[in-house]
Amino acid sequence: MAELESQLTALAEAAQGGDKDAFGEIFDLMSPPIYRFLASRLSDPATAQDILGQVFLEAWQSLPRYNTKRPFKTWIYTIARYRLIDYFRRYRSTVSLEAVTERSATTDLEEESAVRSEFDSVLLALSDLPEMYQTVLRLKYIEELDYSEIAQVTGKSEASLRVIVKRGLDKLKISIKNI
Amino acid sequence: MSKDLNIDQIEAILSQAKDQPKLQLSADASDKIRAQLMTQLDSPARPFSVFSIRKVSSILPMSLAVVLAIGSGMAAFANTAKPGDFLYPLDRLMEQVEVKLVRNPEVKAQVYASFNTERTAELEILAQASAVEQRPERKARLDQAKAAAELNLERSLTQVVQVEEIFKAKLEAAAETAKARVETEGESDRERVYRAVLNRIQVSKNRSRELVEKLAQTQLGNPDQKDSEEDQESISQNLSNTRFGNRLSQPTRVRLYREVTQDFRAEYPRTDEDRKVYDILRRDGKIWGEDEPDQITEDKPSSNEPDQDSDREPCEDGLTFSRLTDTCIRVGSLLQIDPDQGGGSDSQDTSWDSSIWPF
Repeated sequence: MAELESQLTALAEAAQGGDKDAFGEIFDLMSPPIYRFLASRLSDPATAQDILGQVFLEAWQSLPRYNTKRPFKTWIYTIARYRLIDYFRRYRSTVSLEAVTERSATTDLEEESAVRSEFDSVLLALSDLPEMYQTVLRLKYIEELDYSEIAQVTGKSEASLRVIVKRGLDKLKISIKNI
Repeated sequence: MSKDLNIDQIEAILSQAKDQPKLQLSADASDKIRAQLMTQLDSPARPFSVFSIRKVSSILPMSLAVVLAIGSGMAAFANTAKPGDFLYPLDRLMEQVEVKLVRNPEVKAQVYASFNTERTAELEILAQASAVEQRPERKARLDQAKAAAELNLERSLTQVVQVEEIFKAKLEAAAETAKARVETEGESDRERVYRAVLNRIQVSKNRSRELVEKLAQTQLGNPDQKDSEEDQESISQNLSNTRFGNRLSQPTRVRLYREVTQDFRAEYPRTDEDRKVYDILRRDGKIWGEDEPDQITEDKPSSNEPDQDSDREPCEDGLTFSRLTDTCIRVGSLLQIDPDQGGGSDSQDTSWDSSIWPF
């Protein structure tokens, strides 16, 4: 993890000097997790890919303002989070990926309930949580960021993040029960 | 179908989501996005969007600053405007806003006093300008503005005297309740505040009074004044009366009579202010008689008798018959501004309308 971070920092410094190949390497390293973060919130993979491109373009344009003393990974996750918030602000009616995959799988409600796995139920319940809960839980469990990194992405203190995780899991538990 | 999962199970399921195929970026998609991104890196400047929130938010404070600068500049100019000036309505409008914004009665009273001082200054400037102006056209305009300033001052004084009455009553009440304490500890804070308000009003009122007297004397002493000898005589008579309304120049009284009576014919009662002015003019109508005031050349002494063509009973001393209310009332007593009489000798004035004062 630390190796990845130091590698990213070195590449970011090179990219700040105008090295596009270095930025290309950053894309290769960071596009899978950023895409995962985006795709887990979006119903359409094409939209997730569009936003992925925007995130990296914005990162390139904002590189002169990037402080290399800060972790690059959390910096680009922050950009992704804000792009996602912008997207949902514009298109509020977007249905979550989990909901679409579930509902497109079958049209019969009874059959749908029967085939829904525990895994799908958790993701479906997760997509109904408030934005902050979703972001924190996804960053912690799916992206495997630690509390200090999540704190940098969300701007929350580690103590409050622990509370958010605890409450988020409790909410998930109740939601899953009601599905 | 409901599922009962515990927290550990939920955490485990969330951790597995990382490997879900739906969340993996395909190699084709990755290559496509990368290639597209690399071509865009050559043009780092983002296309300008007029509707971009970031752009608007950077322009908005500057735009607001420009609007405020222009607005406050105009407001500052407007504050020095006189009747007849282009910005004078804005000045009065801002005063109304100022009054609305102030909630504290003591502060509001002082605001009224400051407005009265402003009205006095406006009349003073216009009277001086009118006196020295030689060109007839400009002089006519100045005279018109001066007449408007006189009316404004009269209304302002009415207001200020009413405020003064209220605060005198407040001061008396405060002094009464704290009488014992006053003897031992001196004046209460409340009384000091009321006294300060009254002092402010007194200063403003005295200034208005001096100006009115000065203007009346200038009018009498100036042989070029267009008022006839009879008018001068009537003004002279009115000088013995402390009522401000009688100190207005004859042309102003005529104009007021026309304007106000016209208003009242159209819609009565209109406002409290208009009603009071009208009452004064009705009283003056007795002085002038029942004819049109501009045809009257001599003022008659004020009378408490009812109208000549009426067979009604005469009013008691100090009361005047009002055709409008069809009763005997005290009219115009609110405009008694002689400080020796404490701003109005008729403290139990029946025409007092406390509703015009908001507290």
